[in-house]
Amino acid sequence: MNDVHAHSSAVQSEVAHITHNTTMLSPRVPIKPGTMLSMRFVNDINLSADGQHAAFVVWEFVAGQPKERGRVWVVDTSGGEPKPFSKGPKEDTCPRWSPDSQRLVFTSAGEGEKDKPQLYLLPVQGVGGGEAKKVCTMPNGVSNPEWSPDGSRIAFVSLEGEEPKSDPKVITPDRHRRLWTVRPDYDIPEPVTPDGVTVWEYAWSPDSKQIALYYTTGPDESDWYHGQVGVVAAGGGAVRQVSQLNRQVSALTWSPDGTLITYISGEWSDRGLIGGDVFMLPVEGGEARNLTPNAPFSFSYCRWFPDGRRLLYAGWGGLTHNIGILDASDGTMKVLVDDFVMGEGFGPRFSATPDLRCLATTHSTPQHPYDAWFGKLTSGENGISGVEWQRLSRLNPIAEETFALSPTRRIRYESVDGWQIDAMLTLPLTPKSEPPPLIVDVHGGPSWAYSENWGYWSQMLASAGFAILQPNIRGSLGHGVAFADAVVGDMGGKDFQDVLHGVDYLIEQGLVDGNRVGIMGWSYGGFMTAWAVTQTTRFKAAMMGAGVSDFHSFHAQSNIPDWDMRFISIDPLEEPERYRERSAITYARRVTTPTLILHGENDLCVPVNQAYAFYRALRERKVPVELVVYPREGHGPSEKEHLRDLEERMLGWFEKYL
Amino acid sequence: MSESHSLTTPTEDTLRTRIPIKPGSFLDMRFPTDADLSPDGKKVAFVVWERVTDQPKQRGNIWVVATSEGEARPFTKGKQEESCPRWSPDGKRVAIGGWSNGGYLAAWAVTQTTRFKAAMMGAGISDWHNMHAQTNIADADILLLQADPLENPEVYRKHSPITYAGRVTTPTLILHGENDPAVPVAQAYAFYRALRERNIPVELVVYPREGHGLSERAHLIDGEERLLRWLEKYL
Repeated sequence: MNDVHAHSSAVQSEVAHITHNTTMLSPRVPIKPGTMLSMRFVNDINLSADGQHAAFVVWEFVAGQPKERGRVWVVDTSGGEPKPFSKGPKEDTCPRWSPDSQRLVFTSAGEGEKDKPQLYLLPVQGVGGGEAKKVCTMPNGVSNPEWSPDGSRIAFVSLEGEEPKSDPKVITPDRHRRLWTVRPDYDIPEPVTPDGVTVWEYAWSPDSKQIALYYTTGPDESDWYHGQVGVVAAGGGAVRQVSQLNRQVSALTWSPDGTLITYISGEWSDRGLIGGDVFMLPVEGGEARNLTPNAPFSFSYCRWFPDGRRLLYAGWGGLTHNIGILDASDGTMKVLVDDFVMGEGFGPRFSATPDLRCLATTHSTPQHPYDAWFGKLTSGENGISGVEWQRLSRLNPIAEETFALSPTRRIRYESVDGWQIDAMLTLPLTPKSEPPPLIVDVHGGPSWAYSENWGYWSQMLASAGFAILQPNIRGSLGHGVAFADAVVGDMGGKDFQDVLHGVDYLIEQGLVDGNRVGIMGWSYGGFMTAWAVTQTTRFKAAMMGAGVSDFHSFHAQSNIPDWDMRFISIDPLEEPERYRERSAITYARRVTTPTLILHGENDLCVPVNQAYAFYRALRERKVPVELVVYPREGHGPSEKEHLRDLEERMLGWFEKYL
Repeated sequence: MSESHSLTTPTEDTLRTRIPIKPGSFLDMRFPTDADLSPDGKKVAFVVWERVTDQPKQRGNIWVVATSEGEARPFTKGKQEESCPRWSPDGKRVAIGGWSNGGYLAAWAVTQTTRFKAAMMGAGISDWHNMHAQTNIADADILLLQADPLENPEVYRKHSPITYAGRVTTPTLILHGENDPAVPVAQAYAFYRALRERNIPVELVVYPREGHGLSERAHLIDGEERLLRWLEKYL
């Protein structure tokens, strides 16, 4: 952990150096709507088994394409510049090194709408040149490729069957997601799982003979909430259920001797946003054991050391992330890194060499956007003692050197029941007034968390003179299972009190103007925004993004109706009144807060009718309201012009009403 | 000749009571269509089309009359269009279906009674609250329910089939135009999901490009075929 601090301070002194010499440098520029659309983003980093190369995906807007283009880049971990590796027209994703470190497989989507992502292979000598070879062609494309440990096969997931007819559209369950393998040099895909099984995640056994699955017999996105762990022969066959789960799992991995499947489990709102306890499940069947009950933080990733006695984990801890060693026998932990934000906001994780001596991850601080980083485990007298980090890429030098960034700090305040709430506070470089008006930004999920990384909208709003509060209210990941579970059955209850206590705390501290407080959020944060303005008139402006206003009609059309049933903890057919009691629309007559409502027209998760409902209510009460529906967009807008529009409107709304 | 003569030169008597036909006179008339004789020959069901105040288009209701004697009586109370009455072979297997408000009534009916053996809900309303959210005639539900959803959300819920959807046992075919501005397609999804969750036979068919009524030839044929198949299967 000391290594991290050493590195952070090195980074900070570099920043200090730049700011102290302003006379020699071009002036820093304020962040406006659209400013950050020129930035690059990195994700899905993968380290080669020999630790020599890291591959990752770089996303950026390019001329003539409305959405970001993704390309695979590769960097030598011993130094040197990262280089583009793939040349796909739209989205190249999921780079995965072969176990012999000689080849890289990735998926690449073709130019046309119907050109599904297919699997491609390139030798590492191909960096900077060489033609990628298509491994095989699947009619519905390929996702989640993983090499078998012996390198003989590549597994992947593909959607089954033909696209259902759309004229007319007969509503039926979705198509299953089947697991396949292919030999890298023969274009013969072979099915692994049988018909009628959907595979959400999988992990190869160490001997390459079996594959562990998190699977469901239902094919819909919503079925993910009630899957099981199973095992199937790598050559294909029946799936043998091993678990008796009633919660979701993720991050499956095998013990080196192949007798245990390890996973992380919790009650989660979104597939892909995970954090919970580490469990051990005997492959031959039996009870799963929670190795980390009452852990004070939330595990999100783990891998076994070759000795079969310890695991290396990554987890959410408050506003930052940690890495440590977990003893497989008694769950004791040794923290190696206690303050290092990883994983692009979607959860701390790393890619590692099989001996776990070298790691690759993506890392960010409030001063630095995400970049590729390389870590080496260091040893002291008592064994492994920490991680020595080295930055591998510098994807956004202009942003780092020239954006005028508002300072971000971590705060902690007390809320109901004496619970401590962590939050990030960004104070404007140039306040709109003294003290500045405040905007509370509630994160989505609710199973998610703010981490202290490069701010995006918060920096844009702070540039305009607003203070931004980003609280990890109860339900967030980062404080263990009890904290995350506290929102289950109580959305709009104490989670909302946590929001209000944060506002009160900042006012008491004299940091913000208590008469000018706004609220905003996306998804569950959009729900909280709508809920807040029906429960109090203290907010002077609000932005509800892809938010839920009426759980009953949300349930009707969302692709995750199991989520609302699990998080309201009621069957809407049994107790519809509970759904109404927790819906903002029920109290919408009370709203006085001017509210901007933004929504993607094709949002499968939160149907756009949620936005219309709240819009109409406010319009009928003559409360200033604007509804903006973005065509072609789903749960999060992705087209450049939509993002620009959204940022302009959001800022304009708060400038007008706050 | 004599008939035409009598028409063009009415008698003194009729001249006093009969009124000349002017533009609009026919608009007050009722039109019966689509009569269906019950299998036992004792009753006839038919559709009566008439214009009623506050509605731009004709309203269709189903009426029933005994073949022996007696007055024809209205059988349904839909506010827009109910059509195609068909007696089941033994008079005991009864289906219900309708479009728009008739679709609402079909959904309502299957939440209130299990007597219907099959149902078709066309462009129907299942959740008045969410109907109000997105319809282009938000005043209609205020008029029909005589309540403001912001003041009296409970009235909206009390009259919504979705509130009682856990009780449904009737196999239900749900048809809806994807771009229906009057009754948003969310209404159909809501009832579909409820029935699916209760494992009641249900099919939701969404017609692209269609509004509140089906208009494309292929869609009309598809809708009729599906309805027939549904009735043949469950009735």
